[in-house]
Amino acid sequence: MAGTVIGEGLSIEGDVTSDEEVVVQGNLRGKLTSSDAVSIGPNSVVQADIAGQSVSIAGQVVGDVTAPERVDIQAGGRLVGDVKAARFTIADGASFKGAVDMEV
Amino acid sequence: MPKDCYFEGMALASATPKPMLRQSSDSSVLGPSTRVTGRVTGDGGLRVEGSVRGDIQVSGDAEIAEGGSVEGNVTAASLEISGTLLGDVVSRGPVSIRGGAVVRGELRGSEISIEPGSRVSARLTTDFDLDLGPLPGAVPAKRR
Repeated sequence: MAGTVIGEGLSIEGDVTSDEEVVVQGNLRGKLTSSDAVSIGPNSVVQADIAGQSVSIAGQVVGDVTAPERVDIQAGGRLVGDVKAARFTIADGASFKGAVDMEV
Repeated sequence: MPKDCYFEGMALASATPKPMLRQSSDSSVLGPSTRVTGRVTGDGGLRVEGSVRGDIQVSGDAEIAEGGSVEGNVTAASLEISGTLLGDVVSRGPVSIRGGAVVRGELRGSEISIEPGSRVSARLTTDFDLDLGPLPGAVPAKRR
């Protein structure tokens, strides 16, 4: 069970910072920072720069994504923005537009 | 006819709060280490275990858990406060202030309960009509 759940139907306009797992199923506009895992659910719309230990995207994200561990765009997920992560996957059926920096 | 009263200081009177509805599956939780600066709006319930600096407007039940804090105005179907709230409340249902809570603001709800051990500095507005008639089957007694 994630520490923080932004449920479907909920919208946050502003900055969210956390030290625990964050699951976004609703909408977020602003900035999202967590020192733990971040996952963006399939029906969510996020317009925010995202930083997390690892970031998984199944919804729509516009913003830069940074994760020391990994970034995964799931099937059906959509990311417009730059990715900075040690590992990065784009699933079949996902869409992505942006630059990738794998810190090599 | 709304009844206004002003209350400041330690709550000493004991009140029996209505049991609150637990969160449904579409509800949201802001965990203990989560800080939000900005507006939180939408459908469903919301439980704040961390801190929110900004207004909250939800269609469901809201709860400020122990250790949680909100600096902003809260609009919800009902509100249960065990943490800290600095701001005004508009609730269609009951507002329950639990022991240990710290509340400062203007509270409007269908009914408001304040448990002992809470610290409250607030204007309370409730929407019920105070029935001063005798209770059915009871001997007429002075009420308030």
